[in-house]
Amino acid sequence: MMIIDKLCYNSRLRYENASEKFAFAMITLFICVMSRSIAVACIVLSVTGILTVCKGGIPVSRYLHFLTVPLAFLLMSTLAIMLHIRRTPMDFFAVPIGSWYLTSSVHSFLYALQLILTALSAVSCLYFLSFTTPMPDILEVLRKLRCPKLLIELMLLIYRFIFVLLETASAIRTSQDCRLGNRDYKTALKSFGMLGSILMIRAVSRSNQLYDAMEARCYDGTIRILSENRPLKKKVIAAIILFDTALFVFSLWRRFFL
Amino acid sequence: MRTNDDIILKAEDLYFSYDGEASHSLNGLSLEIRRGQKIAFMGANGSGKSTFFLCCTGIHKPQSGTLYFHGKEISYTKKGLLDLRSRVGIVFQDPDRQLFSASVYQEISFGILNLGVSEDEARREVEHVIETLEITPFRHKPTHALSGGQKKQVSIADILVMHPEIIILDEPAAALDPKHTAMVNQIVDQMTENGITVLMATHDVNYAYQWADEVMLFHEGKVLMHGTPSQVFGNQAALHATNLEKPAVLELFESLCKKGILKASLPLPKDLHTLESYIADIKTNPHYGGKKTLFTETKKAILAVSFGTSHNDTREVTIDAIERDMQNAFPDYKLYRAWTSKMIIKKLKSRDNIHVHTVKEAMEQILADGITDVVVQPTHVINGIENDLMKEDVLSFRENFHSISFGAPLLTSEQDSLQVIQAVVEEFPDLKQEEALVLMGHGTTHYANSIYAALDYTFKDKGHKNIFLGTVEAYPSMETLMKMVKDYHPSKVILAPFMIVAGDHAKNDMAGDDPDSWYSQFAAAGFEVEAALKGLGEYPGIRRLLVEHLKAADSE
Repeated sequence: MMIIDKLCYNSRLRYENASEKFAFAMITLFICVMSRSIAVACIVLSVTGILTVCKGGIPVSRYLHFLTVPLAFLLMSTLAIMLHIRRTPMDFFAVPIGSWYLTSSVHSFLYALQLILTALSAVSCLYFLSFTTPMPDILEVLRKLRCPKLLIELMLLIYRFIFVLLETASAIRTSQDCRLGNRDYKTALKSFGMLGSILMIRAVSRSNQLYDAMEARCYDGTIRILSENRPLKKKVIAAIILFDTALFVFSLWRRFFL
Repeated sequence: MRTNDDIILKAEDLYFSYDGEASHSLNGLSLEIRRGQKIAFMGANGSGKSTFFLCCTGIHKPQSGTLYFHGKEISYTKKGLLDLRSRVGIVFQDPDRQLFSASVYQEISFGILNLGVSEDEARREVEHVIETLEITPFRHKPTHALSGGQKKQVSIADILVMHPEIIILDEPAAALDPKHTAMVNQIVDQMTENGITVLMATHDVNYAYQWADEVMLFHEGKVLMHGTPSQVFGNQAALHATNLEKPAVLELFESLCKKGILKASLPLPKDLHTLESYIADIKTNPHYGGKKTLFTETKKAILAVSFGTSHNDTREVTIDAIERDMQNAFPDYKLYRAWTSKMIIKKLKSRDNIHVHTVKEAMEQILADGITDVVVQPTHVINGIENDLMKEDVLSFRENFHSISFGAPLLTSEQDSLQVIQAVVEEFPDLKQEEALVLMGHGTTHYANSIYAALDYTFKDKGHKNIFLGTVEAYPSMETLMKMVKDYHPSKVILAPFMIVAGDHAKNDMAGDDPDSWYSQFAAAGFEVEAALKGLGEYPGIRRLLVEHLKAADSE
């Protein structure tokens, strides 16, 4: 079982209505990206963090660890925005390299910081959703949003298949290890190649079998399933509206009146 | 007689091949399946069971041959297939092959929604099946986090929720732990109770043997043999051809029969429990707990069972005397008499108009008199066939009594033999060393007959080399006796019956004038012969021993 999957099934917010969580995550994400403000990003980052960790019961260390995953990528890409190579030094700092300078302005530094924070807070919104809401629930929300059936069915099957294939792959990998299949770099490469090819074949045969099994249950091209919906809570809806309106107003103020 | 209406599924000469014509997975398969039956499909791996199952649900279309469902040929149109699949459900061996959704609830709801029922009804059905199959504890887990057994439960629920007429289970217990196996078996039993026809592929011969109504033995794409479990599992050649072994119960039963521990005439045991009861029954248990609970005060009785005699003179001094002694030993117990010889009872009835009860009649009388506990004391000499039949008759009333105990027949333990010898010796105090006492037992074809030869040996062992024991009807016969007595060179032969009563055998076969009688034969051999017409029942030592047996039975 993948860690994110495990976390969301164990989250204390799991049984909250999925539409509420989805709406909160999406609207907040939208405002956050739109506002392009460090302050808004900080607010969002802390609110989603508090919700995911304190309300949802995800361990802090784990949450922080997950946040650092995109951080490395963000730092690398924003470095290019922040650093300049110029003949004249700029106002933030300047490191002379021969007759050139590796330099940056305060403005571009703040811009980079704002980019990183906005991206992080956007990720944190998605983490909130995926750490509290199992995949089938998210699919149910998408269905309500009139997302094309074909896509939803594909996602449903892919999600299930990830685990079936992961299990198969890990079983094959174990059996390869047992027979010294990863003794050195060369054998490891070879084993990995074989694993990939057999997994492909397995995947095809699995999908054929699954299709047969679904046909045996009167499958006619459309996957019809029931979902267990949790009732909407007025208090929660009110809180979401309140928070997002406030956030929206705050971001407008930051953008246009400051 | 069953009509054709009962046949729910019929296959006629099916051929199916996965690889063109190179090899056939189904090779002219024909079979009929009756409604409501439990059918075990057995056979080696690759014998065509799973392929046949896929044909049954229309997933595979046989290249030739016809499948009939409810007497109608299966239609391979979209509508026809949907109709078939809504009535024939299949649970695959590997649940991962069947579960397509990550949510248990969604997974189960898939099939029933495909039947076109309303969402509300579907919800009710899904909830119901979740509850009956005990899925509730893990209903909120994603399917990939379930254990093998839980996945199996869900995959069965998938099908059960559709209420099919036929459920096909492809090795439902494969890779399950005993707890989940038991759970699955219980679910299967429930299906049968609900009238669902269950087809199950299994390699578990023990389970198939006790579960199935019919066993289909597949071999190379054909039905090699079909029939009741006892028929199929009794056929060693068919089992061998299909890589199967005999169920453990049958194996053990057969072995016990060969060793003579169980009678081969017993019906084949269906399960270990039955076999256990067979084995428990062969123990010569003198005491049987009845099945009736004791709620009133106890009322005890003695049932004295004798073979019987039509000679009133000897009866008075033997059977009557024994019963008197028993009554004296247990003055509070009511004593009943039963005889086992129907011929003698009939004779007495017609000659003297005296009615003596048979064992059954006596038991009925005892029951009518409100007795709660019965102690049965036979006056039989050995544990022969008479004694066994008597026990069977008495035990047929087991349900009506609180307890039934059996006293042992005269010669049961080694101690008994010694006491009988003592009693005989006491009865003939004047027997001289040079005289021979020849006792005449009855004898039987029952294995218990060996006690006569053994007792003869014991007489000699205990220093009574002049006492001989023979039988009228078995070994040691008169021939043997004559040889031994001649070797002893006695001055006189004294004949005495070794039977409770001195009746017909004693008066005619032993002491009669007929040239075949023992008296005549010994006389003809030149011995001085004297006959003592005294039944064992007249010996005080013998009567004492019988009363002791009765006491032992009562104290059990």
